[in-house]
Amino acid sequence: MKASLLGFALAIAPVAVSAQGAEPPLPLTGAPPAAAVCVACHSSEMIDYQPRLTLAQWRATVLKMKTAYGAPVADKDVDDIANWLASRQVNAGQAAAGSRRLP
Amino acid sequence: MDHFIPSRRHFMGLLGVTAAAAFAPLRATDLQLPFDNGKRRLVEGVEGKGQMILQRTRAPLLETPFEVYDQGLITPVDRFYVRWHTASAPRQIDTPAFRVHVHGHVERELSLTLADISSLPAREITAVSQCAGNSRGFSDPRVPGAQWGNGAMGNAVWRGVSLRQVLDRAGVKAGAVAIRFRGLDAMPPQFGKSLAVDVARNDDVLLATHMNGQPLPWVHGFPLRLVVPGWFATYWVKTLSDIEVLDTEDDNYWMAKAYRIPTTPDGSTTPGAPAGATTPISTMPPRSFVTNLHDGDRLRAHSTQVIRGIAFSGKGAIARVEWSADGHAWHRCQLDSEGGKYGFRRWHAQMPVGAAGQQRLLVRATDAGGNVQPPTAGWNPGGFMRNVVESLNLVVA
Ligand code: HEC
Repeated sequence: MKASLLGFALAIAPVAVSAQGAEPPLPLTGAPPAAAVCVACHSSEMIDYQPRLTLAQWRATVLKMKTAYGAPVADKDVDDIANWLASRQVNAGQAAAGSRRLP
Repeated sequence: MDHFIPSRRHFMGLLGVTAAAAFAPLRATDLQLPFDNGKRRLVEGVEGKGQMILQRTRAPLLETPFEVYDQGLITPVDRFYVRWHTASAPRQIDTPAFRVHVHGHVERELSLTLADISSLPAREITAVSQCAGNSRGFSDPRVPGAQWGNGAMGNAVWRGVSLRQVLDRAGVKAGAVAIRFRGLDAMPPQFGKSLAVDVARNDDVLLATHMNGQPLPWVHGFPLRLVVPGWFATYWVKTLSDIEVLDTEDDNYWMAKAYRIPTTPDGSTTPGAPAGATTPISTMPPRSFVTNLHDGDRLRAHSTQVIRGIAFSGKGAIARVEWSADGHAWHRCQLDSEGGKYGFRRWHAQMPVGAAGQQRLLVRATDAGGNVQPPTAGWNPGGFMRNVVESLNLVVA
């Protein structure tokens, strides 16, 4: 069941992505290769526009993509992707004053 | 009534325009929503829209720029916010072949064409559609999800037929518990929302074909969408094609896992507290906004300033809107007569401006059920149902 669902999700992505390239790319610098799948079902703003999230929140998000929506992420890649997502926000200096994070 | 059966050619023609526009913003400028990481692009021409805040290209999330709410009671179609979960609904619909299936716990299964639906008596209802996560970007602490400002809401005149007429034709069997609605979004877990039978049988729940007098555009659910006045828009299923009467509670993902709020009276909980019992989000608590002034605006000392805005509630008609400079003394605003119980209600007042310095402006709405906006924001892990009293800091000079 899962394999066919993924097939579907990924099959629709290239169509939209290639449409005149208007979607902002997800800068994949330093990303684990497995993170490339993060723009299969939605464009990268879904990731770039998130507030600064804790590592635990990013990990929960990656797991949610995998279990609820069927993102093809191997168990061994979950932490790598989550670490990268959290660290790129820190590097970008995101979350200045006024943005409280979950305790 | 006028009938709604656009010719295929007409519709394909429309699609030609929107599909081309979808990926070719004509102009883009930057805008800062007032929260961290709130820089967004203001784009024009996406999905056939006028100027909108681009929250996500695919699947489209487009936010209405706030000034639109000051321009009229009805939100124009081309400035109306857009919210899709997946990019899997077809952009082209063969209208003659389109069917709405009514099945499940019914006496007679139905397979209705758009012509069948249009042959039923139609009505119009003015109602606010508001995303459950409108204003999520203001959640404190922040939570993941679409980081909307206050523009994931709009007020339109919806035209369609009462769902009840269709349910009566099918004959809902005794023992039915809920009615589930699905559209043409195909990506798993397939989008579906359900309403208790008594809610779905309210005459005001529509199978809508038009908004503001035009056939629904693709981004708003062409050719048919459910309109559930008073309820958050997650229930307003677009490209509606399947109505299933259930004899048990709906256990599909979008009811059982997503769009749920704590069972506390105001749907909020303490950040970081262990997850407690939750329930599906339902009707919208009252909100009100000043639309002609913005945070940081400058006013002339010792003058009188006209203030105006909008208010709405999904739990009862707006009974009163009040403004305050300190959160203690509240002053009645004048309510416009137009709007109806489900739509935006416009209000206005004369506000005395004091001596030079800072002046605050708070505004709060109360509905006929006695529901009133809270002075401090509630919080829940989904960032849903924000309805705190809004406040502006004004500069008097
Ligand atoms: C199989 C499809 C799919 C893939 C692959 C996928 N997502 Fe998602 N993602 C979704 C859907 C569906 C939503 C909900 C969209 C909505 O509400 O509009 C979502 C929402 C999100 C959100 C918003 C927060 C939330 O919980 O809804 C974030 C952040 C996100 N995805 C990040 C990612 C990251 C990071 C990856 C790569 C590990 C990823 N996604 C891969 C389908 C996918």
